[in-house]
Amino acid sequence: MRWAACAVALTALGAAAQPAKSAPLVTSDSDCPSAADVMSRLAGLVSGDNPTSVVARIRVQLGQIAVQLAGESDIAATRVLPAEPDCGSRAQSAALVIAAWLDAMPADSLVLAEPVAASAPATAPATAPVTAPVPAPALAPTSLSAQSRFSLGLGAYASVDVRGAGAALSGETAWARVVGRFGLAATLCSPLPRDTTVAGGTALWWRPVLALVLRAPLTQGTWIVDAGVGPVFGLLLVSGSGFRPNHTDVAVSWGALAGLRLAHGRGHAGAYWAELRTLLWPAAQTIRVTGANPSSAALPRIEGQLGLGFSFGAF
Amino acid sequence: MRAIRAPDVAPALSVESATGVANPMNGQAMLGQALRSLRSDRDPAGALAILARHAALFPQSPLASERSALEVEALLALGRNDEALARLDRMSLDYTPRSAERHVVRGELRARARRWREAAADFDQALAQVKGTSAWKERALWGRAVTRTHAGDEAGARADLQRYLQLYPQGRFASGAARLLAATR
Repeated sequence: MRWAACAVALTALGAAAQPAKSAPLVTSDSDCPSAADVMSRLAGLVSGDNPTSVVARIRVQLGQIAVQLAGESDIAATRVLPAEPDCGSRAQSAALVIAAWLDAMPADSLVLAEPVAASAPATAPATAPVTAPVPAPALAPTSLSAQSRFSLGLGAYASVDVRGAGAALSGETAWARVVGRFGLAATLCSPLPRDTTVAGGTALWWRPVLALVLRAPLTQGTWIVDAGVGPVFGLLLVSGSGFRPNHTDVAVSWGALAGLRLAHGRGHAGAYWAELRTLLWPAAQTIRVTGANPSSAALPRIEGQLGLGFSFGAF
Repeated sequence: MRAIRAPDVAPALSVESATGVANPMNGQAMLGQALRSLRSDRDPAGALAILARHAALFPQSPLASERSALEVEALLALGRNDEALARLDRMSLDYTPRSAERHVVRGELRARARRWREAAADFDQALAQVKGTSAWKERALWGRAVTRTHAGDEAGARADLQRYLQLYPQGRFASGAARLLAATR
């Protein structure tokens, strides 16, 4: 490289004398383009109050122009462009590269948290030439271990199984991030009572469930896909109608729940969600009619549910 | 220092000339016009319009990366943060000038979009690249503490907050960091 021929230009850009920190230092190992030519073209492209300073080093070789830029707080990076035939075009390309990367990025953090102290920090950057409007404080860790994690949710589900369709209401209490990203939810789901015809009579049955669900978010962002799985405790209440005599009975059973939930977060206000889940009952439960004409009806062991709901609190 | 060959070094300018679709000199002039509109005239909307025309006329321009950087600058100036993030999402920031600063801005935008893991990755990159104890490092540390908190990484968040207070005891987020740490003791 012909660094002996290197031209160095360090001048204030434009006629007005601007702070020296805003003037890029440009060097070139060639006179096509020369550093001075690049600097003169930069004058119309860079603001005098540029918030950062860079050292731009131009090298011309093998039909290419390499523009290496080193910022004051960053490692150097190089942009390589095809070299046009005329020096003016080369100088303009180099000037455009330098000017473009001296862009004004938001001078203030977009992740502001608590109200900022009245005294300005010593490390605050200078105001950018084209200042981006600073968004309102949005995200903040309110505390670490005490960070809002608790939510209450309500949902309505439509269910389907081998005995037909039904509906259920569900309430839940959830704790996010109990272990790492895994959370827990306790869900109480109350279906509407169902009826089944057995041996000329009607058996009215109702199976509310209490589920403990381990939850894990599969995605992040405003839209969150959340997977859940866990054990279910079911309480079955059956009441006969049209029999002689009618009986009632109560039984318990254990099962499992697995589901996927798509939630649209609204920050600490909560989240709307839609959930597709299934309830599995490994042990069979059967309604039996005894007497002269014994008969039985098996209750569903797999239920599919699709629900919509809202969770209040952090999600 | 390291020299990195940019990905868009194909001689697209000569292609444009050969096809007669557009004059590359006009492409340079348009980018210059966009820069002046953005920096001197303080007209980011006007700059965006010029950049859109440039993209339509010179889709394969060797200065496409510069065009993207200017689009992001203009969108941020207009407060169109979601669109700026969409542009930044498509950009490879690792080998661009001022990469660390750009990672910080993208991390902050991703954090605002609650994309915690991606935001944390940007702050990681920024902290690996940024030199000294600049304001950008301060922002990256705070940003990572926030994202780690939301991602449930309390140990990591606590470590970042402690480091923040060591490096920036009078920093803009120092009071918040101290309060968060005290609350967990």
